[in-house]
Amino acid sequence: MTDTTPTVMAGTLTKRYRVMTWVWRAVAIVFALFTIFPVYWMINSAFEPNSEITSLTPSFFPVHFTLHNFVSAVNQTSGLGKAYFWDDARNSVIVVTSAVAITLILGFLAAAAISRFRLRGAAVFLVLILVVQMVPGTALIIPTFLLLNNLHLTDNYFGLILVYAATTLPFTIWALRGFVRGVPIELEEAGQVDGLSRLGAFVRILLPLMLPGLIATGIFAFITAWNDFLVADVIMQQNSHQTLPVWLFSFTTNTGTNYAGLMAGCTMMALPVVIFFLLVQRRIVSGFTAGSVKG
Amino acid sequence: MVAPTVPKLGPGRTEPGTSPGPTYSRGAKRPSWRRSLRRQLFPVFLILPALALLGLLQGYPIVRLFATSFQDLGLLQLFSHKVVWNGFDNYRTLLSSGQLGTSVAQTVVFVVACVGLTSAAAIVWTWLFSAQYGVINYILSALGFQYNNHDWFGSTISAYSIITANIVWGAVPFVALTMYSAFTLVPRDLFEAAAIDGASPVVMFRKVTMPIVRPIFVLLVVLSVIWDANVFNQVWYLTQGNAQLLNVIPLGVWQYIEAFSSQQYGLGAATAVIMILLLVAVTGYYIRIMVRTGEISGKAKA
Repeated sequence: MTDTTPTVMAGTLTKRYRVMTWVWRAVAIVFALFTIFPVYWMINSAFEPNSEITSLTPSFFPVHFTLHNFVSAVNQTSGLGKAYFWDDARNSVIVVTSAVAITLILGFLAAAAISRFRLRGAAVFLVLILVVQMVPGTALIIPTFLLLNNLHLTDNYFGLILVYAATTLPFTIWALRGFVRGVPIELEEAGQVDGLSRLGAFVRILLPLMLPGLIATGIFAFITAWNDFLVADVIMQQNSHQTLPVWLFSFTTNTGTNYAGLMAGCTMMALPVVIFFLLVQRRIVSGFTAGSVKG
Repeated sequence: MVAPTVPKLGPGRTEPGTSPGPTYSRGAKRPSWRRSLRRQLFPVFLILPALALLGLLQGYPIVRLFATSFQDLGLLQLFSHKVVWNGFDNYRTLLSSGQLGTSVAQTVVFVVACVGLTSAAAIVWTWLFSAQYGVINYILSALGFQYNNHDWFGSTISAYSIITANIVWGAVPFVALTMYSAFTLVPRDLFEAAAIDGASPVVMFRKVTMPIVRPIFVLLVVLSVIWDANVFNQVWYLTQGNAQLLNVIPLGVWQYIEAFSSQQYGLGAATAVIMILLLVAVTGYYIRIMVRTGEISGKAKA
């Protein structure tokens, strides 16, 4: 059986397929280059002296390799008297990880409630949070700011964390709902027969089984919050309270943009995300497949 | 849909109407109303925290946005806390200015281009590299390479390039990975059956794959339309401060310019409301498909 299959396939293979292989390969290569080029360019520029970046004939490789851009990016004060890189990096990490944790916990509970129980109004709720996505983020800035101002939560970690958690929650609920459905309910029922409570079954059985889905969803939430500029810029007022995307804007001043420093800054901002991706990469991929398998 | 929450655990399950009073198995206690109430409230408690957060930080600002769209709200009124209702004035101003039509048209063109490009590229992409029935694996194995069921997402290098794309391109990889997982939903025996019936790959894709992945595809279309219509950063950075470019900006950006640069918050809010209504109109059709096919329903189908 196993030896006959390739022969059958080879028999159906025509010259057209052979040509198509090379066409598809070429498409794939162009696609990959197109995708990777901006990242390559960012890293390339980050290691080049400013003179080379702004020269008319761009060099595709950092011939005069330098770490100077990173040093100057970390130390740049942009006329404020203090370098804010470490403050802002710390703020970004604290705010974004807290927001992702909150959105995952609330999203998990809500997704479990929706897909494991017959909950009146669940369909309306799902449509509503989808419609919420249609509101332009820029339109909600002022009402959100006024609300947080009334609650004395502006210029405050907690306020920013809540906003990020709330903006990523609708998508998280939608995605996690699919992953909950992927875990057969019989497993939880078996756990309950063995003496677990309903909530205990969620935490001890459902949660570990959908961990890949939680990681995958968490990464999307992470990227959304990590890259946000607008909300952080409006809600956090002191320079020492800002996040990294806002810090990136300090490279652009009245006298022009410091592209070398900006590219080094971007590289440093992307680095934690890339490292995180590499660490959990295997789980993301299995997460996306695991989440789709219906019980 | 019909199964009660924990059918196997409920003590004293009886067929309704078979006996005058419920009979209980030996030793089982009659469930008190208090306990059944607690059981009913349990899912409510689970969803309550999410509901509270969304209500406070999404619901309330949206309601306020709608209210603002009927107000004359500028900087002066904002700081003096004076509420000036002006009915439909903002909408009248918007509809009578030529800019709305231009912006709507630009948004439509933009969204169609983005949605078309991202989903088409992503579908082709994941389909090409899908482990079981991807064209690439098929052709490579047919050529004699050992690529039968090769998992492109399983090795570090090929997965890494896909994930790098994820960071660079916001939309494409999201759609691609979701579609990839959707494709794994398709049972492989269906392909085998179709292959025996002599179906070509194209026919297999249309008649076997598409019907199964359609719900997820529809959701992706809706989300892409919404996200691309609301795209802000890219356009903002490119057109910032350039009045010449006013005829190429989509609604989301125009709304921002109105609200912040001209400090016409009421007018900005009205623009946002019009935009939401347009999006609801555009995606409503797809959302109805999702509701009809049961993709949006409370409990999962068994």
